[in-house]
Amino acid sequence: MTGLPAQTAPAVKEALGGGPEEQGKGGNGWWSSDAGESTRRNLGLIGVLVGLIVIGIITRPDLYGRDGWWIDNVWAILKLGSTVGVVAVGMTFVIIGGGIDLSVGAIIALAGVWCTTVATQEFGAGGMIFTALLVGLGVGLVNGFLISYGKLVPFIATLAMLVAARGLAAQMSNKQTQQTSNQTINSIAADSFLGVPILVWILGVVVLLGWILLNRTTFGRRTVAIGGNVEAARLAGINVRLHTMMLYALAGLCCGIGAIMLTSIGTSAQAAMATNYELDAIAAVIIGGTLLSGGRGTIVGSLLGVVIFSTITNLFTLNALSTEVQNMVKGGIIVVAVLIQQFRFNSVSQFFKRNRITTAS
Amino acid sequence: MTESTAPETGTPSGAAGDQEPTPNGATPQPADTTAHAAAAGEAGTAGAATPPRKRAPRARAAAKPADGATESAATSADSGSTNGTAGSDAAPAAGEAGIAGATTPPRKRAPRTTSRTPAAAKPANGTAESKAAAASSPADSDSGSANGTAGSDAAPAAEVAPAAASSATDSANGAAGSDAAPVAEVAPAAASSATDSANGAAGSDAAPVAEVAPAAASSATDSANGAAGSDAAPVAEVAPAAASSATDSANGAAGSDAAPVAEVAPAAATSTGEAETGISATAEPEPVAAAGPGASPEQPGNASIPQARHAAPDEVDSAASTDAEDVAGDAADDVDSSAVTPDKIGPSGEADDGAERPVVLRLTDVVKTFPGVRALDGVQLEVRAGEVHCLLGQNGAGKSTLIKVLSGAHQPDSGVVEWLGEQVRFANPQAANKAGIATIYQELDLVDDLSIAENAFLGHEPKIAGFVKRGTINRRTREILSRLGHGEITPTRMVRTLPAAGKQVVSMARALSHEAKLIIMDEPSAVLAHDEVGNLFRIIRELTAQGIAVIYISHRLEEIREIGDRVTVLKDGRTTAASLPARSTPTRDLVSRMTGRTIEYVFPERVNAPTEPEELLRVEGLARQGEFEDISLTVGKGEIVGIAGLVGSGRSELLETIFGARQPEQGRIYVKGKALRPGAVGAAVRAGLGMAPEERKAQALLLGEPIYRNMTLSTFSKIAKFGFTDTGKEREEAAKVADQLELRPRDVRRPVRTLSGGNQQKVVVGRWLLGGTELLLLDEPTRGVDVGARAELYQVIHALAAQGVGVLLVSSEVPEVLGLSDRVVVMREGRVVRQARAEELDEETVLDLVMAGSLMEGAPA
Repeated sequence: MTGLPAQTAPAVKEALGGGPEEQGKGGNGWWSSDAGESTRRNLGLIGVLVGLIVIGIITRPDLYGRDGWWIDNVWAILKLGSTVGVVAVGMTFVIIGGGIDLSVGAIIALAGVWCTTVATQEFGAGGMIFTALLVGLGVGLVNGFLISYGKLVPFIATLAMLVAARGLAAQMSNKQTQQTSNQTINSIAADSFLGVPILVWILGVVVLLGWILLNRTTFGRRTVAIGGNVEAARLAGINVRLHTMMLYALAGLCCGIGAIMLTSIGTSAQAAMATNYELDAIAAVIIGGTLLSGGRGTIVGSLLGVVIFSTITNLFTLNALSTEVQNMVKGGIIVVAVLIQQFRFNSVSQFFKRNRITTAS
Repeated sequence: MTESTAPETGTPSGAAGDQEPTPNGATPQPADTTAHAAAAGEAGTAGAATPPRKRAPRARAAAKPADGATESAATSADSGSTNGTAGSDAAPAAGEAGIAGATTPPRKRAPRTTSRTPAAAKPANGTAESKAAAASSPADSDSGSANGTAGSDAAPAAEVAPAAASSATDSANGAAGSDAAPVAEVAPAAASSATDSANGAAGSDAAPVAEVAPAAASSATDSANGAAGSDAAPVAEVAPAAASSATDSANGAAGSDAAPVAEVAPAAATSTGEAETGISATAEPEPVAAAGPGASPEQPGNASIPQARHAAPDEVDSAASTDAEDVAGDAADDVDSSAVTPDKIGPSGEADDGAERPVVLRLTDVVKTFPGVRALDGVQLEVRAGEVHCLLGQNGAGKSTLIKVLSGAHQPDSGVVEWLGEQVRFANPQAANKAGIATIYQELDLVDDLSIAENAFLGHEPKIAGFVKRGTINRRTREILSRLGHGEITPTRMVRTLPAAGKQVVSMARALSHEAKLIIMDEPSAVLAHDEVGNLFRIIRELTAQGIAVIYISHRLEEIREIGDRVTVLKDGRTTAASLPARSTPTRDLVSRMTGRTIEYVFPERVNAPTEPEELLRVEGLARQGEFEDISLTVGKGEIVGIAGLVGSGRSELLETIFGARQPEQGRIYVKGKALRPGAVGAAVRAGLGMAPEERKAQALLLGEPIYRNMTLSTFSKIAKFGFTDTGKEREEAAKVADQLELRPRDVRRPVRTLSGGNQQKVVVGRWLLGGTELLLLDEPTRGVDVGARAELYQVIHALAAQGVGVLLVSSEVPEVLGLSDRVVVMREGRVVRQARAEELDEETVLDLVMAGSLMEGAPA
């Protein structure tokens, strides 16, 4: 972070959009840049979010009328999405880099179970956190190794890990729920710092670090290059294999962080925890505008995707609607979001086509 | 009607005035009919050449005969010979004459005169109007040029101009029908006919003909009498393609009368030309043209193009025509055989044979565009039953697209595909299969884990209630295999267990299970060992003996010589030569058709080429199985070394191996005397190597990313501080390089997607400049780059060399390699066949080396 350039005003726009230079490309106006497109898409997502909140206000004016209730509700929404949000940051890197990670939920379960074993809990909060992070990182490295050097397809390698990690978690926990007795860990989910819940702080820090990593470092640049054109990256001298392995390790590390958060929220860990997190995280990343084929995506978009999902959940809870309906709506939103994305993408590329013909002549 | 030329005398009479119809506007000069005509007369010599500007429109049915004679084309043959006799004389003449006269450069292609062509209609002038669709047809007389040979000239002309149509007519006499006829043949598309009002008779007859003949051209004839003309007419009708008919006759048959004619015909065939046209043609830059006029003997060879292909089917017609025939002779075939042959090549029996067989497939003016690319830009192709028709062309010439159009994988944007005489449009590959067109792709599309029989009938298994009749397919497969001469193969054997040659047999069995009448083979020999190729040829001969037509694609000229009957050459999506005799056409003609280019390369003056440069790269005994063997070469500081070779000669693989993108199996690479770690791109980049790969978009660029990010793709880590990228500095450095390379646009924040091909290539080169690369490997640096940008790239390459950068470049375009390099390494089939300084080599030599060194085989030049 020390290296952050001191451009504050543009930085806000960049935060929404991805890179700085993509704004206001000369000549053709703001729409001429693909990255400008992602800014626009993020603004669209914010619009959706506002719409959801408005629906909440309309349907439950009584709640929103209460003094200070809405801010509590905001924290509730962010806490709800915090774990998935952290995982989605790692997932965003993997997907931008041209891969996919189906094992994130299983890694959380394994890391959670591992760090809550009786033996580990003896080391205190520090030992538990260290264990969770190490397990997450280690499993991620295994994924990455299999994919980079074992040349397995990411889908298959991480699917195998999904099954195996949950199996190992069940074995370790003897299929029992492991309670945490460590108050420091348990307080993570309960306490606030400066009025902001600690879970939200963690989410915020991970997102910020993720954004810097993607947009300001060589690591992020390599990620985009590999996802955008792996052959070009390789022929430019980038060590594609090593970098790909690191991407999965990063995703695993995020899962380790998520494991601590989830363990804290439930004051326990079990082999069945974080079920379907991989799907939630992938859905959020996709809604956030990251191309599933890699090469383009934003951390902020992924965050917005997560928040939209948890806002919907919140909305349904407030209105006491069933989770069945809720899931149907979520499914519909994924489809609509991707449809819009394709539509946009096509129209943009068509624009370029036309544009190129005119300029070429 | 007639203009006669006295062949013997050698005086040509001007005959035809043709107008060139410009049907599509293509040809610009419609108006002046007369003038031309006149010119023609004199021009004799020059005359023959008719440039078909665009394409001669086929006079299809030009029904518009409305105008009677005029329109139609008929043109006359007159020319030729005035009378039958004349014709005969002419024939011999043709041989010689051919040379001079004949060249017509097909510029574009003569527009087809379809009925629609207004041109025809234009009868405005009552007279001359023939519609010449074409281009031109010069009068025979002219052709004759000085000598009686006129006929001959024309013939060549005809040949030359594939497209050309011609017709001529002359004002004065109407007669030139005959000429036209041949022409027509020649020009697939073309038709034309001319006629003139004056002779009404002949003309008129012709007219009808024209109408009848779909394709047609006209027929002409006249010879002395109008009568002839009339006869001809009928003939024409019969013949689907009028032109063809003529041709046929020539070949065949024409009646007794005809016979003489026929001989003549070749000569006659020609078109009349208007001198003007001819001239212009020549003048025109077209490469082809150039060649042509030159008249080297060879040309005529090419000329043959026209052959009478259509004719075949209707022998009958020809017969009919007999009387008339005189005329006509035209015969394209003859042309081929006679004109060509004598001069250059020995008699080519092929043409004759071919002529008698029916045309199964005819493509006219087929166009297919993809975004940004005109993959096919007016392809003509005609395939007869039972022949092996070879397609020749460089990579990117459109062969693959053409196959896909034929096999139903793509649909043409415009143009006509006629299959067994009917216009067709295959919606998908299944439809093409059903119609009897089977395609055998290079990468055989068989299912390894099914049996031979199951593969053969995959997708169209005989079945009862959903259950495959295994017994039936096994039995039928066995039958088919024995037809192929491989009765010994068990149909129940798994395809996985077969060698490549065996799989190819299965592919052919599959084609036959569809009862294919045409089998397209895309480089079938590429996957075969040398001795297996003989077996493949044996099977192909069995197939053709059963009347099945084969379109055979191969880069190996010697194979084409051995198995092919006729050759069509594509270049840049266009047919540059149609239906040349495969065995007798000189290699250099084929090559010039493949490489003929419209714009000359402009190479910057090479200054300060180092004579004994300090060694930068040394490769010793590098090998990768199946790709290249035992490659040793060096590149010095500031030196440009070019590798010439066809795709598949191992050159791209070699570059990638040097660069570390592939692991060598043998050999060593030294950079500045130090051994380079093999198979590691990173190590190569650190050692100062940089590569611009062949597939720019797929292998080098991040299209959606800004220019500067693409330029710094291999250096952003160096520019970065503590792992944080410094985009400001990146942009600054990229902008400097952009200035140096004169990149347009200069704004480095623009996405690379928006750049032209040449500028995209500059971005890739710029990437390595930024990194301080000392040795640049360029794989097809100008592919997909327009001509103007090429010149800039050449300058960039020279400038780099002047700065001491060593350059190792690969190109399929021999002139590029020769023009750019200090030293040239020629590769064929994975081996270095020659290394020399560029000035010691010329294009022909290199092409011969590159194309299997078969220049002399079967084609004494």
